[in-house]
Amino acid sequence: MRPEDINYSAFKYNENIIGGLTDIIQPIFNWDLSTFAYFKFFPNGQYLYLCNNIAWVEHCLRHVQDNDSALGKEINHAKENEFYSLIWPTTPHDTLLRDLYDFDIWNGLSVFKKSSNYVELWGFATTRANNSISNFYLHNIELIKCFIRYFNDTASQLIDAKDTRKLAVYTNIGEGSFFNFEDPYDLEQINNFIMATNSKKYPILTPRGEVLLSQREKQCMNLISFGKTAKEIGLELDISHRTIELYIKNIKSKTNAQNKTELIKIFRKSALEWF
Amino acid sequence: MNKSNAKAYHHVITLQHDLNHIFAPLEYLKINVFSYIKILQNGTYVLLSNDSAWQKQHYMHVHNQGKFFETCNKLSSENQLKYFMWPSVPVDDLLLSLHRHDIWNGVSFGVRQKDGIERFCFASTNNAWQITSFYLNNIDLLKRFLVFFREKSSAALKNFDHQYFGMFRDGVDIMQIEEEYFTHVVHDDAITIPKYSISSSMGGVSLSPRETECLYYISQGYLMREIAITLGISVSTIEYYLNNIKNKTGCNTHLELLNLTKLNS
Repeated sequence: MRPEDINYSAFKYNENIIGGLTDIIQPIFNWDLSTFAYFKFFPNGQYLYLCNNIAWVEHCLRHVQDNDSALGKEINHAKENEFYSLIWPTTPHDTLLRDLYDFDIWNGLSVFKKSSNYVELWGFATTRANNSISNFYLHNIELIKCFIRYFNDTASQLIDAKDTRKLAVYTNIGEGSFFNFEDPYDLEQINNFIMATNSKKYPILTPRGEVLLSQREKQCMNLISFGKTAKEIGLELDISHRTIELYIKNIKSKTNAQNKTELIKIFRKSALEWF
Repeated sequence: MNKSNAKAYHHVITLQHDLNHIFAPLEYLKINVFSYIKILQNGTYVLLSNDSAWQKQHYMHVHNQGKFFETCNKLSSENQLKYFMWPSVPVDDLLLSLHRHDIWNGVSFGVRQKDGIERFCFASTNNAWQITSFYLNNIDLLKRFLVFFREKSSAALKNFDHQYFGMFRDGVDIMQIEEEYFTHVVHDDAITIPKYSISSSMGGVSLSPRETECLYYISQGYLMREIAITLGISVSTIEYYLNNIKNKTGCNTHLELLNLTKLNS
């Protein structure tokens, strides 16, 4: 990259901190991931970009001039103070994806979060050959969120964006394509789905095998796991707390749980639960 | 063409009419294809699906499980519902065939039973790449559907005559059990959780790393003595941390804490 290039100072910054960055992100290499990137987007088209693959950083800062790729557009699904996770497409169907594919930065996961005046993105990726990594994402999304909190805490100096020399800029920010939040899922359709899929019995898997709970028992169990007492549940469901106690006794004997805490443990670990 | 598989296919399509209304709610989620397969120890199977073209293809031309679904079988367990995201590229003949039928971006659930293995697959089209993120963020909805499907289809499956089972020509061994990294939940001590703020009835509260860890394990349903073992500290220390959290958050009981963790997922 040449000093006269527009994002030269941002590139230099990444070059300077890459050693420190690589130290901080050590944990991800144990998970068969190879590339990590951190973005902080501002509405004026400026962004902070850190990545442990310097060749890719150089390519991006020189050639990527907008955020209109399939991955970039997902920024509009970033929710305020909530993580939104996106598994990358399996085929490289636009320029940015093709470039990532050619750099062997593939099978990735992006996690977005919106704050009051910026959107953050944490990107994780591996190689083209590691094609079953999405199972890791599916089972360990909580771990990844832990990592993100850990990263933002440990790298707070690195991701501080006050010094504008650290920032790169999109020369082509499009027609206000930033921060137009739209829900990624159609909530009305999801509601329709929920209404259409009621069951009479709810199975939960216990160490002793599958146990069926009735609708009422499941309701009780759900409220118990929210920390409610029999009396409170009674009030909520408008039935006597004696009856609730009976339900709880039944569930305990069905699942062979000794006490409430154990019951909750079984309920939460059980993979077929739904509440 | 295998005669017994043809017979099996002709039988399952007679059930299609009764099953279609069970599959219908999936349209709300843009999940085009759902299929259910039960494989018995002797290598025979029954396959139900809302995609009859695929059902036909499977009974007529699929001779084995393929490497990917074999792995799913091995990893299926009796007391846990496991799930498996399909790989990003078709790595075996069966996946290749699904891909050619424009059935892709799928996730499968597997559970082992005394007499065999049950597997449930959700999938969309080759282009619908966003659906995998939908699975990631909404896995509970898929589980809900499984509960619903099992209840509604139980009558049809209970009376299902063994003479109408299909057969994998190349055989299939579902008795092997394996534990693998593939679907494991990883614990990593290298990540120390930073000070973490949660919202409670007392307003925003900041927790120390240890307190956060304790609260996290509580939310996962761990018992105090299990947390003590996991974190390598004594039960009374855990009690001390939990008391601190209770003081900070204004919770009185253990169960209120659980409630709090749910709100602060």
